[in-house]
Amino acid sequence: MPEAGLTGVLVRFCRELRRSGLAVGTGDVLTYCVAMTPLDATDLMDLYWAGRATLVTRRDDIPVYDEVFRRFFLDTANPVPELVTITARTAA
Amino acid sequence: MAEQPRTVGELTDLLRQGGYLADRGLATALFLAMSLPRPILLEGEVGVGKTEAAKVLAGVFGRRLIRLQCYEGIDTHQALYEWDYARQMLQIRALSERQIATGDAVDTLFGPKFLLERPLLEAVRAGDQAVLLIDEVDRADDEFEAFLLEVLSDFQVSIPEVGTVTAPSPPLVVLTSNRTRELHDALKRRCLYHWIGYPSAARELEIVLIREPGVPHALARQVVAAVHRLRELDLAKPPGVAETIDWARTLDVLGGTALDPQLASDTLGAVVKDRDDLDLVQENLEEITSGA
Repeated sequence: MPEAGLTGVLVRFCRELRRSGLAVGTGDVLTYCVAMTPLDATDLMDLYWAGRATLVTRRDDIPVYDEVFRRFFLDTANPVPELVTITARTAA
Repeated sequence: MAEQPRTVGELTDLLRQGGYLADRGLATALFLAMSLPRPILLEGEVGVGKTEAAKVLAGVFGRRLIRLQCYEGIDTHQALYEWDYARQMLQIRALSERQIATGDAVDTLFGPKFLLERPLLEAVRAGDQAVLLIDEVDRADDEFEAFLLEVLSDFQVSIPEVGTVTAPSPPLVVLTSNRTRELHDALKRRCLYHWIGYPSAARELEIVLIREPGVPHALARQVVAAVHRLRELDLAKPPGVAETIDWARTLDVLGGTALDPQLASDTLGAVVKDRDDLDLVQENLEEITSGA
């Protein structure tokens, strides 16, 4: 499992998806977290595609997922603090 | 032979060696399907390479491809196992002629010798030595879907007369759907999901050249451009990537070096497979083949 900081970020992201109408179950959140283990959490592409594969089950949900992902991970005015720390730590 | 990919990049390279170009999204989804491991549902238009993905995975990892083609009315027997009725009858005749039809002899009629393995049982036995392709699952009905859900949950098959067969380790399962109907949530929750769209023109050109290396670059580019215009028309059966490859190969075999309306018209059968579509395309051939 990824470190606690990252898990917190992923859980919050899933909660955002749920708020926007996606049916994301607890099991799906867990799968997403496990899926990130062999991937690189500092790579936005990995975060994006692992989420697409584990949290989205219908084509119609993809635009919603995209919108929430953009808002959650790519909003430069309001960055995810844990992600910044993780990036800084891997870069060091 | 590769065992298990360590990174998404490694898997992408292996697939490419197998003649299959996967973009980052598909490669990541397939990588996760192998490493978690978990069944993966590939949805997309006809001819975007869903089935091909499973075949190439089996090829590059040296696994056996076991295919279950779904269709309307498919039932559990056709998917799991059947008793070899004809052989059982012959055995019974032989037994009764020799008057040795004892209880034991009858029991052997329902033993492994008379069991016909169908794809799902075969896959459970083969475990991770196999890639199980459940093709066009949207064509099967609800009951069959529920039954699949059960098999995919525990990779265990119970045969009353023989016992329970359990997969030593689950096979890699690839389900495909052309999305003629929405699948049940329960089945989808079991699976990773990836939607495969039509590739960009640049990627499709790359795909044509990797699959048909003999086709001149300029011709391939014209074919790809024309196919992309075809997909913009309101066709009943828009051409998939397989059709693009077929068309390029056909033109090349005929010695074509450039796609003009006449040549396109003569070879249209390779790429447009519907009568009404053909009429519509014939009317717009100039435009479709222009400026490539």
